Amino acid sequence: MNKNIIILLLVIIGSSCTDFLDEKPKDRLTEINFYETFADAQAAVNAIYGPIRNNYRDTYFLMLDLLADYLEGRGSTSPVSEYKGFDVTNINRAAAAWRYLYQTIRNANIAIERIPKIEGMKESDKNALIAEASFLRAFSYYFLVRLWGAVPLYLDLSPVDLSRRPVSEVYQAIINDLKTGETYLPDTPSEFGHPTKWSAKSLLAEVYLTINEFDLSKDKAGEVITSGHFNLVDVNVANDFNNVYGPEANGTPEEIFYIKFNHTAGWTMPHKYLWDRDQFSPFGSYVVYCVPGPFFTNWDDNDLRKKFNIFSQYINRFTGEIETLPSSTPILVSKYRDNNAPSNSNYGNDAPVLRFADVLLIYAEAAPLAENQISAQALECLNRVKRRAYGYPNRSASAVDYSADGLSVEEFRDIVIQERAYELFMEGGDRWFDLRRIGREKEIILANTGKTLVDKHILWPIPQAEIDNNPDINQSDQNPGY
Amino acid sequence: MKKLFLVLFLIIISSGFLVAQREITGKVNDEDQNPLSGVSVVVAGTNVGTLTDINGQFSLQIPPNATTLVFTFIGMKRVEMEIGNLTVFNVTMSFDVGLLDEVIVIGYGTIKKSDLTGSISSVKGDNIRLQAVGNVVQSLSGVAAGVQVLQTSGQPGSGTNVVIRGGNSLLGDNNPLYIVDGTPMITDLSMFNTNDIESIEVLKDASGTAIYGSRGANGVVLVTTKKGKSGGLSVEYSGYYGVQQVTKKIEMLNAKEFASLVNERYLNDGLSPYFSSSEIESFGEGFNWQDAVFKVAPIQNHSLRLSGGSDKTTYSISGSYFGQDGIIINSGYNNLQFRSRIDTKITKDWSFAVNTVLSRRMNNNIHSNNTERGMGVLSAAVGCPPTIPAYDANGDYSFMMAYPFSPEGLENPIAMAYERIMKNHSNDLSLNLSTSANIFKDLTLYSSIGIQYDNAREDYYSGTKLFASRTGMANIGYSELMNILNENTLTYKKVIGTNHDLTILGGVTAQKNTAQNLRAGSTGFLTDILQNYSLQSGENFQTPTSDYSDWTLLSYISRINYSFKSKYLFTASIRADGSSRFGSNNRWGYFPSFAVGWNINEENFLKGNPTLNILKLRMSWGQTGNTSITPYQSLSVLSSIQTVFDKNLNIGYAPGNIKPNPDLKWETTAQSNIGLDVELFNNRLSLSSDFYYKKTRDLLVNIPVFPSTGYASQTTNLGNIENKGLEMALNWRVFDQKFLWNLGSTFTLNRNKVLSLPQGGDIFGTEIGWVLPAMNLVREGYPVGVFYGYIEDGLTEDGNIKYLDLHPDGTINTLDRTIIGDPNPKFIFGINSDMSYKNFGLTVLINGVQGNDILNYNLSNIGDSFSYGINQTKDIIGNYWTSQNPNPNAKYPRISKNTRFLGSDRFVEDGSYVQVKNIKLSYSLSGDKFKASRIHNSQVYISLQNIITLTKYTFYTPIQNTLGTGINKGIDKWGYPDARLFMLGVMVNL
Repeated sequence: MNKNIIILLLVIIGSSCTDFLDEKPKDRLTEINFYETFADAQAAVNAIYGPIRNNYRDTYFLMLDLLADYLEGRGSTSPVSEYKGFDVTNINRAAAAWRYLYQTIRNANIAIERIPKIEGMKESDKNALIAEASFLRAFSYYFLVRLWGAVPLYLDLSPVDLSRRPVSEVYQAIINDLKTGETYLPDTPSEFGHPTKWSAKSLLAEVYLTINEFDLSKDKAGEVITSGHFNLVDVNVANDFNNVYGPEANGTPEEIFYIKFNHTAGWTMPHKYLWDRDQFSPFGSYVVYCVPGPFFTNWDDNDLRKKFNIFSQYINRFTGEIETLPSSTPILVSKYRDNNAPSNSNYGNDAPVLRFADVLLIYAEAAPLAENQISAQALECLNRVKRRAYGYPNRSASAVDYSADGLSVEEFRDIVIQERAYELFMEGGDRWFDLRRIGREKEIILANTGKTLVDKHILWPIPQAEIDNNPDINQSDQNPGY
Repeated sequence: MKKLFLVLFLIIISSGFLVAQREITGKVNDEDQNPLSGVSVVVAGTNVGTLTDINGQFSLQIPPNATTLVFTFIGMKRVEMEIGNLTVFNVTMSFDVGLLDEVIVIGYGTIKKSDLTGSISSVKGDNIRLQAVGNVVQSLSGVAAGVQVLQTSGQPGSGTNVVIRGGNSLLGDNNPLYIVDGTPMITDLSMFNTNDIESIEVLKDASGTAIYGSRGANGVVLVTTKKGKSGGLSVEYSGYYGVQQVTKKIEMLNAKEFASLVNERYLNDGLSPYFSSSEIESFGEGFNWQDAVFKVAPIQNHSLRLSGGSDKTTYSISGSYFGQDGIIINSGYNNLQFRSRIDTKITKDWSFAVNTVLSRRMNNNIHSNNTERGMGVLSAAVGCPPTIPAYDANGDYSFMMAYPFSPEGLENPIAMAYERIMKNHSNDLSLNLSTSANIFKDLTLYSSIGIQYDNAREDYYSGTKLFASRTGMANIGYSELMNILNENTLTYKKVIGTNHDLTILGGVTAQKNTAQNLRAGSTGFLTDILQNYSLQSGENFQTPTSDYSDWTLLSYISRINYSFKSKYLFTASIRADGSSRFGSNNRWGYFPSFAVGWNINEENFLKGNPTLNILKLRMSWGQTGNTSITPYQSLSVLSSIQTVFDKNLNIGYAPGNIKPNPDLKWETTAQSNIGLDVELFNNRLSLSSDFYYKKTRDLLVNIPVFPSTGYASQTTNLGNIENKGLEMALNWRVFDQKFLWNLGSTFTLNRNKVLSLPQGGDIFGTEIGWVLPAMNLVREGYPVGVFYGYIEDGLTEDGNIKYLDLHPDGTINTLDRTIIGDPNPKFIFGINSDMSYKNFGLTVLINGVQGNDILNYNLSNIGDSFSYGINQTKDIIGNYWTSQNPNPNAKYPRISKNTRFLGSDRFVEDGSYVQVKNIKLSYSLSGDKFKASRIHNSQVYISLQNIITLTKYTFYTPIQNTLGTGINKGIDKWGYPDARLFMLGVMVNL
C-alpha cells in the first residue's frame, strides 16, 4: 500500500508539466498576433470611435452646450453655465473629456503606424483607412485646441516632445490630417458614420473659418455645396425635424459626419434635459433648462425650429393633460426625442457633428469676409437654411428671405452667427465656439443671460493627472485660474 | 509521552514542615479510569504541592489554612476541590479539547507551543463564538494582537477586511491568506459558521508565513474546524435570536428649517423666496426620512452538530443557519451551511480524511455605500426634503425632484429600497480529501486534493417606479470560480537521544484557479412583475459580456525544526513559487526564513522557579511575497470596442486603459521579529510581546500614466514601504477560586512609512466622488494613504471659503494642498474580561482605535451650505454666514448654489473610538444542581453588542472604509451604518 502512495505522489509531481505556468488569455487578443490582415486594420480603425462615443455619452456633449448663452444646468452641471470657473465635479469631467480625446488620438496613431506594415493589403485600402484615422485624429485635436488652447501634440506612438505645443502648430497638424482625409477618403461612405472626403472638406472649411482663413474656408465649403451630394431635408411642420434629428434618421441628405448611436449601444447625455412626464421621452433627469431672456424672446415664433427645439407646455404622459412648466424652469429643450428609447441610456438619436446646414452657414459667413462683399451665393446659402426652418422649400425664394440690402459685411456676419445659433442649437458646442471665434463671448453672454463670464472659464483646466505625471508639463503650464 | 510532559511541567515545590500540617492522599484518574501520573497537585494560593506518581497517587502535607486543592495537567481540564475535612481525594480529570497537547497549528503541520519560534495569535473557538457575526474574522477584532478588523460596510453579509501588522501593499486590500484545515481559500471565511471553528491561528511573522511564500506577505490566518472525538454520539445545539437597531440617527433640518434655508439660498442668489412665509409656518417638523428607512431588525443563528466515532473513525456533521435582516428596510443576509468531516484510520499507519463544506449565501442588498447625493438609499434617507412625505395623496411614492432646487437624480429612498432588487446568491462547495501515511518509522507522507467551487448569481432589477429606470432595467450576472489544489508533503520527525528533536518537511504543491463571468440584461418592460426572471420580456437587450481568466501557481516547500533539550529552538524554511501572473523573465520567487527560540525557563538557573514559570525569547527573519495583481497585466492585450455605423454595431480592437508591463515581478516583504513570552506567578500572569520590522520592496504599484498617452495606468514594481510595530497580549487570571476572573488585553501599535516611490513622485488614490477629488496620498516619508488637501482659513467678505495660500503665489491652486490627516491609527487595543461565579458568567469585550482620521465625505453632501439642494444637518442653524451677520469664522459658508468646496480639512475628522463591543451574561446549567440532568454543560445567555461607542466622529459609524482598506482607506462615503444588538442565546450539549 505504501508503495502505491509513493507512486501516486510521483505521478502527481511529474505531471506538473513545463507550460503549467504560461499565461495564455482565452478571452482577449494580444498585440502580438494582431494587425496582420485587412479585417484587423478595419478593427483598428473602428476602435478609434470607441473613446469618441464614450466621450459623447459622458457629460462632454452636454458641457459644450451648457457653455452656450441659452442653457442653464441644474445640480452638478450648474457651474458650467455659471461662467465662474469649474468646480471639482466639472474639473473631473473636463479631465474625462481630455482622456477620451487623447485615447482617440492614441488609437488613431496605432492605426496610422500599424496599417502601412500589413502585408498583402491593397495600397488604396490602406490609404483610405489611414485617411479615416487621420480625420478622426484631426477631429479630436480640433476640440482639444479650442477647449484647452495649446496641448501636447502626438502624431506617432513614441513622441519625444510631450509639452503643450502652440495653438498654431496644432492647427497645422489638423489641416495636414484633413488634407490627407480629403485626398484618400471615399466619395460616399460604405456605412453612415464613416467620414468621406466631403466630411474632411467640411471640417477643413470650419477649421479655416476658426483661424480666419476666410478664402480657404469659402473654397472648401463651396466644394461641398456644389458637389451635389447634399441637400437640406425640407419640413412642413415642426415635428418633421424628427426626420433630421430623430432616432430613425440615418443617411439623410444633410448628414456629413455624425456620431452614430442606436438603441442597443446606448447614448445618455443629450437626453438628460427631458424627463419622464413630458410626451417627448420616457426618460431623462431634467438636468438643463433654458435661460429665459432676449435669446428666446427675439426668436421668431414662426420659426419651426423654435417650436421643435424648446417647449413651455407639455402633455403629461401619465394624465394626458396639458401642463405648463414651473416659473423657475419655464423653457426646456425638446430637440432630441426618442419615444421608443428602452431605457435612460439607450437613446438612438445621433450626435450631428457636420451637417449640410452647417456648411451652408460656413460659406455664408466666410465668403463675404473673403470677398469683402455679400455675394448672391452667400445670401442664398443663408436663406436656404432659413427657408427650410420656416417650412418653405429650401431652394426657391420665399417670404422669409433675408435681404443683403444696405448691410455691411460685419452686419451680415452677425445675422449669420445668429442664424447658426438657431440652426445648430444644442449640437455640441457650436454656439460657444462661434462666440469665441468672433471674440464677443463676454458681451453676448452678459446680454443674454445677465451673467459675467470670468476669464478662468474660457479655457478648460488641464487634468491634474497630466500635470502630476507628464514630465514636460507642470503646474505653471496650467490654464489661468486653476 | 507522559514522561515528556512530566519533564516539561515539573515544578518542584519546596516546603518546610509546619506544626499544624496534616497529610492528605489521593488518586487521579482520567475519564477512562486510567491513572494519570505527573499531575500537579497544589494548595491554592501557596507553593505547597506535589506530583502524582506512576499509579496516579499522591500524598501531601497541607497547611492548616489550606482551603482548595488545584489539580492541573497538560491537556486536561483544571480541577479544583474544596479541602474541608477530607483526607482522601479521588479525582477524575477530563480532556480539555482546547488545550489538547498544547499544540499550535502552523503551515503544513503543527508544533508544540513551547517549541514555537514564530509570532502567532491563537484564538479559541469559545472566543470566536462570543459575538453574533456574519463573518468569522470579525470576531478577531480586539482579541488577536496585531490584527485590525476593518469594515467596508455595515450591510449584513458584506465587507470585512483584515489587516495584519499594517498594510504592506498598495494594491488590493491587504487581506491575509486564509487557510482552512490546510487548504488556501480563494474567498474569505464567510462560508463558515462560527460554531464549526475549533481555533484560529494568525501567523504574523515571517517564521510562520514564509512557508506560504508569495501569498504570505499580508499574514496568514489558519482556521481549524472541529473534528469528531471517539466515543458515543454527542449532540450540540447552539442558537441565538436578537434584535438590531441603528446606533444613532443624524439630526437633520426639519421641514420648517429646511424651507427657511431654501429661501436664504434664493435670496443670496438674487431670486425671490421660493416658499411663502405662510407655507413655511405650515410645514412644522415635516417628514422624518430616517425613521422611515431604519427599522428594528432580527438576527438569528441556529446550528446543530452531531459528532462521535470509534477508535478508528470519527465524524462531525453539522448544519447551520444564520439570518440577519439589515437595519435599513429590505436588506439582509443569510447563510445556510452544511459540513461534514470524517477521519478514519485504515491501518495503524494509514489514515484518510474527508472534509466537505456546502454553503449557500444570499445577500439582499440596497444601494448605499459609495452612492451619493440621494442616489443611494442612505444618502436619500438623510438628504431628502422633509417637506415631502414618502407617499403622495394617491399612495404612490412621492417624486423627489419636485423643486427647481432639487438635486438631479434624487430618488425616494423607500422606493429605492423596495423597487430596486439587488440580490446575490452564492453557492460554495469546498471538498478536501487527504491521506496521511507513516511510510517508514519516522517518515510521514501527506497528500491532499482540494477543490473549491463557487458559483454566484447576481440579480438586479430596477423597477419602473424609480426615476432612473422608467421602463425597468434587468440584469443577471453569473460567475464561476474553480480552484484545484494538490499538496504533497513528506515529514520526517525524529527524537534523537533525549536531547535532539528534529522535524524536516518537504513538499510540492500545485494550484490552478479559473474564473469566468457572464452578464446579460435587458430594458423596456411592460410590467415589474417579471423582475429579472425573464430577460427576453424586455424590449431591448444589453450587449452580453463574458470573460475568462486563470492563474497557476507551482511551489516547492521545505522546513526544518530543531530543538535541543527543548531549550534551544531553530526553524528554517524556504518556499519557491512560480506564478503565471508574472512576466516570463521574473516568474519564480524564493522566500526563505530563519528563526531561533530560547526557552530560558528550561535553563537550570530558572528551572522550577515558582515566580517565573515561562520566559522565552524568539527571533525570526524571513521573506514573503504578494501576488495581488489581476492576471494578464504583463501582456499587451486588446479590448473589444463597439461602435455604430448606420444603425448597426461594429467591432474594433484597441489597447485598454492599462499599459502592459512585461517586466512585472514579485513584491517582496522582508520581516524581522523579536518576541518575548513571560508567564509569572503560577502561570497566573502571562505576557507575550513582539517587536517587528517589515520592509516591502519592488512594491507593486498602479502608477498613473499621464492621460495624453491614452493610457490611464500601469502596474509596475517600484518603491519601498516599511511597517514597524509592537504588539502585546496580556492575560491575567485575577481570581481563580470560587470567583473566577480572567482579564485579557491586546495592544497593537504599527507605524507605516513610505520609503521610496517611482521617481520620488506622489501617488493618489481614486477620486472620492462628485464633490471631492482624490484625497488619499502616497508620498515618501509619510504613511500610506494620508489625506491631502487644502487648509481652510475662515471666510471671505462675501461668505466664501478662504483657503491658505501655502504656496504663496496669490492664487489657490493644487500647489496649496498639504497633508491634513492620517487614516492609520496610532494604536489599537482590546480588553477582554471574563468573570464567573458559580453558574453565572459575565464577559465584556472592549475595542479601541486611537489616533486615526476619517474623511467624512458625507459632509460634502449634507454640510455643503445647501449649494446642491440636499437637506443639511441641524448643525447648520446659526452656524452659517449671512449678509446681516458676515461672520468670517462662521462654520458654513454662504448659503448659495454658487458656494464651492475644495477637498479641505473641513471633511477630516478624528476617527478614534472606544467601543463596548460585547457584554454577555450567561448562566451555565452545570454543577451539582444539574448533574443528573441530561442537559448539563449547557448554557443560556443574553448578550449586548456595540452597546456604547465613545467617539468624536459625527456621522453614523467610525468604522467604515467604504473605498476599501488599500490606498483609499479611511473614507466614509455613505457607509451602511453599524447596528446595536441585543440577543438571547442558548448552547445545549446532549
